[in-house]
Amino acid sequence: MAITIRLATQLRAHVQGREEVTAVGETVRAVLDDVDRQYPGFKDQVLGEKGVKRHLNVFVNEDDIRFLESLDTALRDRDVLTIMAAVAGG
Amino acid sequence: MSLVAVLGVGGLGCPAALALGRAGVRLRLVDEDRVERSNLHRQGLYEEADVGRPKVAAAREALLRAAPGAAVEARQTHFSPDTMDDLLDGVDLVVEGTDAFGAKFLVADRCAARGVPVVHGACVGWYGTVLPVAPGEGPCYRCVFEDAPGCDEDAGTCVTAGVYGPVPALVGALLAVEALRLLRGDHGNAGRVLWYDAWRQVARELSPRRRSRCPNHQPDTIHPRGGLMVPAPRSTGGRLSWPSR
Repeated sequence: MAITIRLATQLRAHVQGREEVTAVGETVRAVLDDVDRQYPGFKDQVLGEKGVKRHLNVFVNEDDIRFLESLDTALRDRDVLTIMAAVAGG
Repeated sequence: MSLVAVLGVGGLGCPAALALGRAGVRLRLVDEDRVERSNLHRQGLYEEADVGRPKVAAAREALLRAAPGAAVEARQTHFSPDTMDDLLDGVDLVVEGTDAFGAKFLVADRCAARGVPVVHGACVGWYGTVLPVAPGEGPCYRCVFEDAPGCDEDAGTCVTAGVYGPVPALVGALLAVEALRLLRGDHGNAGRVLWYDAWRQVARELSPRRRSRCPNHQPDTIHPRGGLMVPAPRSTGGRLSWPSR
């Protein structure tokens, strides 16, 4: 089951500069685990002790996972995961 | 004539202030910094001779040259819980283009508490974001990002990650567009995050939801950072759309 993960700029350095990566898994958590297997250390950039870091937002297709089942949100083949980060600057 | 506070007169605040000043909006420019040579590639109201001067003074002069007769107030001060209420006094809208997460959350919280619409902007590298917020409608900045990243977290700022000169010019102009829309009473974009990637020329629109537990939307409660909260209306839904290129 292939999932596309679109990444905030700050996270791209942890996946060899890629804008998006693909991974497999039946839940958001499983997909992040798979990305971490491909790019060790990635998960630490996204997750803290209490789940997704507070300055990040994770969307499954069009929906914010905070309003679904969070990391246990079920995924379907070809779903798109988007990780958006807060930035400051100008 | 509306009064807009431009908080942060940097890469985003300069183009936003120029557009709004020329549109006839009264401006209150707020920034504690002085112009540095490293600012000049992206902060279009300043020139070499301004290096070392307070940004708000140099920006005011530049705006008056560009829009003679404009009403421009300059305040060289920092943003803090102690100064924010005075800085927001009497304003109809805030354009927030600061480069510090603490300032962004402070502005978001105080604008929510006072019922002042705000347009948040940010830029780093080749991309930027714009979030217009109308009081009592949709999510606020704290609904979206909850809290500032910790100092050990890889969060982008223009200081740590740099920013390419043309990008804040584009995003700053978008801040002015959204400010004018809100001032006209058009809240159609309120609560939507525009995520613009200048390198790929791709704009994405994200529509996060209002968080029921956001401290800025608890009815009749006191925010931990001070201020009485505005009542929370119904959620406007949380959809994320991907406009065609």
